[in-house]
Amino acid sequence: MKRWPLKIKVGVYSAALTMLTLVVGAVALMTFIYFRQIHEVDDSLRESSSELVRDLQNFRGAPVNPRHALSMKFVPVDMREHFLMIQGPEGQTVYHSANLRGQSIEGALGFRTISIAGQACRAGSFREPNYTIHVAVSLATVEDFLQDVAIGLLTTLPLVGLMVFAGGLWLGKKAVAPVAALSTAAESISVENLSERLPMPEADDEIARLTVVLNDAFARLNASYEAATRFSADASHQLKTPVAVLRAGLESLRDGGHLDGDGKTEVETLLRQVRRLTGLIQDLLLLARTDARRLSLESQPFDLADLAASALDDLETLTYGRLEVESEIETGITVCADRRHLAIIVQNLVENAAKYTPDGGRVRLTVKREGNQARFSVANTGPALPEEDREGIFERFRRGSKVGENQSGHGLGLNIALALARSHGGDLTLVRSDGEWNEFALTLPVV
Amino acid sequence: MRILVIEDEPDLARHIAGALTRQGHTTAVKQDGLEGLNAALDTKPDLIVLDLNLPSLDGFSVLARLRKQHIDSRVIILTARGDVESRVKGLTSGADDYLAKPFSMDELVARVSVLGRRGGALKETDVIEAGDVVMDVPHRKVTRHGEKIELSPREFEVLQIFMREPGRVFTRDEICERIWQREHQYDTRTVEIFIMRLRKKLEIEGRPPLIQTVRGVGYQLLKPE
Repeated sequence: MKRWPLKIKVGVYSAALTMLTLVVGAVALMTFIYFRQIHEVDDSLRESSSELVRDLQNFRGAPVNPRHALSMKFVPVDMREHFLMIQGPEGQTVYHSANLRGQSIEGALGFRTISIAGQACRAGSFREPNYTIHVAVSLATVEDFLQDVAIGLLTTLPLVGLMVFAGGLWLGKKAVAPVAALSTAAESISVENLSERLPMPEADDEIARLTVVLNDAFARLNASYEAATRFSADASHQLKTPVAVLRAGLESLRDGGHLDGDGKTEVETLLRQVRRLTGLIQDLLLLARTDARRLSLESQPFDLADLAASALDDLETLTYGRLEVESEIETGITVCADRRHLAIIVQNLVENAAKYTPDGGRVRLTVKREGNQARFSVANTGPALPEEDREGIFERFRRGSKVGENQSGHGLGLNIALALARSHGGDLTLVRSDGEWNEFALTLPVV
Repeated sequence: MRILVIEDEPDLARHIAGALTRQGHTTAVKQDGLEGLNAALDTKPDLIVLDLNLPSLDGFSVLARLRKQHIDSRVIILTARGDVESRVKGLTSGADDYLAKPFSMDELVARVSVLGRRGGALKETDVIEAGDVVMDVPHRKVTRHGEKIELSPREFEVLQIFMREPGRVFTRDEICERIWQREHQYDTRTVEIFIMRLRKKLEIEGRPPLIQTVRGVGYQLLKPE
């Protein structure tokens, strides 16, 4: 039930509540009616017995002898359906109605509910001058009436429930509509347009408050996003000058002619690290720009086969004597892109393939056209990527769980490649990792 | 050449001046935009190495004022801003060349000498000749003695680096950097393989190899007599 949509919940809750209320109300109502009816029966019993006694005191102008048995003719017509016992002054029974079939309804003065021939009856006993009257009447009519009321309520209950459910559904939908509209609007705000805000509703209600809260959250998100982007751009910038000094210093040390062989080797090592640092800074700056959507592209149309030829050249050299390289390159597929950026993507894929293919394996480079898409894929044989690595393989500073610490690279490669592919209106995906081949495909729109 | 270095980072300025002095140039250093501008107006140097991020007056403004005063010294811009916009802005506002930090000092020295020699920026000429080797860049064709040589894309690029500056010694790292731009797994061994293949293709019996190994440093293209 927790998973139901809000409008269904509103419908179900209101229907259930209404039905429960109706049932409780019905029970209360029926109890009330029952006691009212009993009270009325009691009144009529008392009245009938007084009337009976009045008649006996004055039967055709004279009182009847209270010690003589009475026959039915002494009983008024409207009491002949009643159960009736009349006792004389000494307690002797002077009349016992036939419908009692010998059963005694003698009892203490006052009213009680008894059973006569298996039927619920209301009985009353009254002491009058010379007589004690015991009179009872069937409660069948009262019971029938209550039963009718109960049946009526029970049959209408589902109908009422259904109607209330429908109403609740409508009400729920109506109440949720602004929230649904709000979430649709909120969904359309992404990294691309974080500075946009949700339109404020006219009414000053809960929805308006929610809108304000959401807009505030977006503002904070935007601010921290911009701060993070600016930070990495600034940091990369600021890092470049000291690195330039380091590089210039090391190079002048190397070329100064004051170093012996060991010193020179050491300086070369340091220079290599400086270059690595430079690469990292460049990568971070590139990512900061793609994050901020401020990457400027020097796009120009060119044949993907050219790029593939260089990549193949690299691949063959990198894996020379270790891996088998195959290619299937369709020429004449023109894309409009920044060549340097595409080269970075392709170099990443080529490097990874060269790095992660077990010795004696194969690497396959394919360029082909699929509809309006150009597809550049690099596949290599090797064990399937662990399930848990596939999702995060394109994440920043993420490296495969099986990749040792000693492997070169800083875990930005695929992330940068993806960011660059996307800024060219393309995509980069892991299309296959089945234990036989691992294949990454770059797709780009064809000109 | 008389070279003015306007760079606010003292260590970097010192190294630049040192490297240029070693090449036989006369250098002066200013660490402030305004001071640099005044020095340039006074001394009218042949070439200015200009940083963009400067105190009191930024590099673009210095350049604009120099050009306004018709000082036509060659200008190489140095900047930490490696993006396309500032490169384009630098070149359109009258600079002759542009180098992103951190740069290789050899590269700076090479560009300075190219600017001094030609009196202009390093031009991407279409056909390069070095001795009997002719390279047609747009058609990606290479001939030696009129005989066509088939080169792979990377072999072509490596040869082009050498042919643009015959006689200059390139380290393996520098070649790596030129070809792949970024730091890579492509280690220096990869470059060695390319050079080995290139040598084999360019080889002529009985002649010294065109691409020479400079022990402990790198490689150079034999300067044609």
